[in-house]
Amino acid sequence: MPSFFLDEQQIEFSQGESVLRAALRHGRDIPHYCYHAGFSVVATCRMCLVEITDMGNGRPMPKLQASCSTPAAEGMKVLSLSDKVRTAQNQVNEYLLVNHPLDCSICDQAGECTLQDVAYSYGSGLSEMNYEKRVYGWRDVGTYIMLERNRCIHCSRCERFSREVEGTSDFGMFLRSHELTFDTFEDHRIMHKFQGNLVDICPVGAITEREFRFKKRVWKLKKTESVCPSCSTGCNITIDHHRNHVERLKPRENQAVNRWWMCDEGRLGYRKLNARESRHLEPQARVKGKLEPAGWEAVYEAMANKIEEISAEGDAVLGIADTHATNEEMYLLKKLLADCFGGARAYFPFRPGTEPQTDRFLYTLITTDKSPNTQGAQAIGLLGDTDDTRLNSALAKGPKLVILLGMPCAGDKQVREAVSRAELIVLIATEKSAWDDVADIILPGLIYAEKAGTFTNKHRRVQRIQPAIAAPEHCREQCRIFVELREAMGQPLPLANARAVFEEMGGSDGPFGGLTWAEVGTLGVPLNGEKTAPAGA
Amino acid sequence: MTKFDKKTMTEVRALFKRYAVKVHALLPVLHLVQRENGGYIPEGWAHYVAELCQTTVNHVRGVITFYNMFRTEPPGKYHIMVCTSVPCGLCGGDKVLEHLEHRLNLAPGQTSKDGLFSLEEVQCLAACDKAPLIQINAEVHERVTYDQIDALIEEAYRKPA
Repeated sequence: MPSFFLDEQQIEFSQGESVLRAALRHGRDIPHYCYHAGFSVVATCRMCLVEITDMGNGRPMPKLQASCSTPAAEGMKVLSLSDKVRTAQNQVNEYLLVNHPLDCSICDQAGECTLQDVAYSYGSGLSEMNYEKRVYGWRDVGTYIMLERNRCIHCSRCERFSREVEGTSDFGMFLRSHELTFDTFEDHRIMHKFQGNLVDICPVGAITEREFRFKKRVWKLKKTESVCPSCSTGCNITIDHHRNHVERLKPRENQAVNRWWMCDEGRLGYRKLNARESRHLEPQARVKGKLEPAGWEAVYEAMANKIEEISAEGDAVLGIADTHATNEEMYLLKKLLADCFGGARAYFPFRPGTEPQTDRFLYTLITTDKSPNTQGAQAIGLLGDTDDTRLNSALAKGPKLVILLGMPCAGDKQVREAVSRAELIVLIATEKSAWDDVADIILPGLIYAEKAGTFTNKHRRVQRIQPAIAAPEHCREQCRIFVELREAMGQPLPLANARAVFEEMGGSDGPFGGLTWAEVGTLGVPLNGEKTAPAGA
Repeated sequence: MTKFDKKTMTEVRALFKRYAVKVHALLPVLHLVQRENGGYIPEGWAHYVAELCQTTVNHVRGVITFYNMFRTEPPGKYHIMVCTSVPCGLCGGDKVLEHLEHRLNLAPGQTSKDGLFSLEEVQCLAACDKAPLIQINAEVHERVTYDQIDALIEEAYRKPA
């Protein structure tokens, strides 16, 4: 591979790659505003200037060059920290601060603002500008975003995003020079479902999120890497939370899944994570036809006794899983039925969903399957049909014991009625649903932001979720519930947590065979021996 | 009507033939729009031109607002452009503008109520050796004086048709 030198450090590059791109790939930071790997290069901000003392042919470049638009060459010698470069960057930043209001104290971007960071690390930290600043009028541009044009530094990322990635060209560049403004045309409001990405790419606080406005200073937020469960794409996200309260969801770069993007539907999913009223908060058991709160140990004991009393096996027992459950939970459900109930089987509603057929990669992110783990249920070997044929014929045999994981087919009255005829119905769920009227025992589980586990996305890629916030006091992780239930039944399974379950899945044959928890890491891996389609191929 | 007539369309087609891509003919097409609409580009034409040149409305709008010579407001019958760049400024361009502002009771960028005059401050009219300059419609007046300007205005008032 050819290489060049950046401040004496050797950096490898591929043919045609720019100096900045190669440097960023090697973990070097050259300050920049307008450059974004997802769009074309315009080199308008002039912040990424570097000194090239040798073009690779022994001759220097007479002037400083924008590293984002300068292709790297074999043997090139580049300085990004020399006095000349630092002076130039300082001055460029000073010019950007001419019109940028110093309202960081009331700006939502403060703390994650590139201009602020660079002003402190490369500039003087304050503006020398003593004159009046340019002021634009306020504009209502979108349903999800707020535009504060006074803070705009004209990097044109929003314009390029709407033209090249999103495709509607909602943002335009109007007027010129001192009056240059980025705005929408006439009274056109942005309506698409990807507005949140404009907030992410804006290097300053010109575009901010309505949802997050004035809610929390960003430096207080803790970020936990996770996966969005709002549809089967499984966009990589960070859960930004503070004091056990989720404030927002942000996309995390994963070139094989969502690149840098995420939809607004997914972002709004954060609201549900803070909801308490709609959740089951303690175990409940039906006593004389009425659900009563109960302690965990008492519930386990009562369940074990009842199960022994029924002593059902095979077709008389059945499990139904929701595709919101993680791979580990589904595996444990399947294993529980197979081990303890003489080969009973688990079913799930198979609703594969479709991906929009479009050239715009961004739009393929929203699928019609609004659950994160349909492919996982299939890979683990749960039985499912698009019209629930097998589930219905199993229900027709009149099962005595039904274990429900999540809220499968909660809207299907027929299934609910068929299940209600069973002698014991155990519901392991996080949220209240129509199943509550049917269930004999309700065991409160954890939502995805509170537990560890893996999901398998639409392209059969296994991705990991991690606990971000603490669970309500009396709720327990679903994996733990399965392990404890087996203990109460006298058939213990020594698997401490989701990780141990996953390692066991990886130790056996099948689609998960050979995978390890560490290998899945933060970016995920395709199922055993499969290749996931690379994003936007 | 926000649409070219048949005769103009033949001109547009001829323009498209001169460029590899339709959008490259954007500037001359916008000039045609301005010509056909009495010196300005009314609202709504941006959509039509975008469709014609196969580009986005925001691109067309950006081009219109970028160039000074595209106007979005109707100009007066006599559109007076006053240069205030450095050579003209040194020779009294600012004073010429001030005089016109008083004489016509207009600020730069405005059009008089009777639609006769509009005033615009412009950069360099490309005859700096003959500063100060004003341009009325397509006609350039060199080394203007207050008297000359007053005479020109009187003349315009005399024959408004």
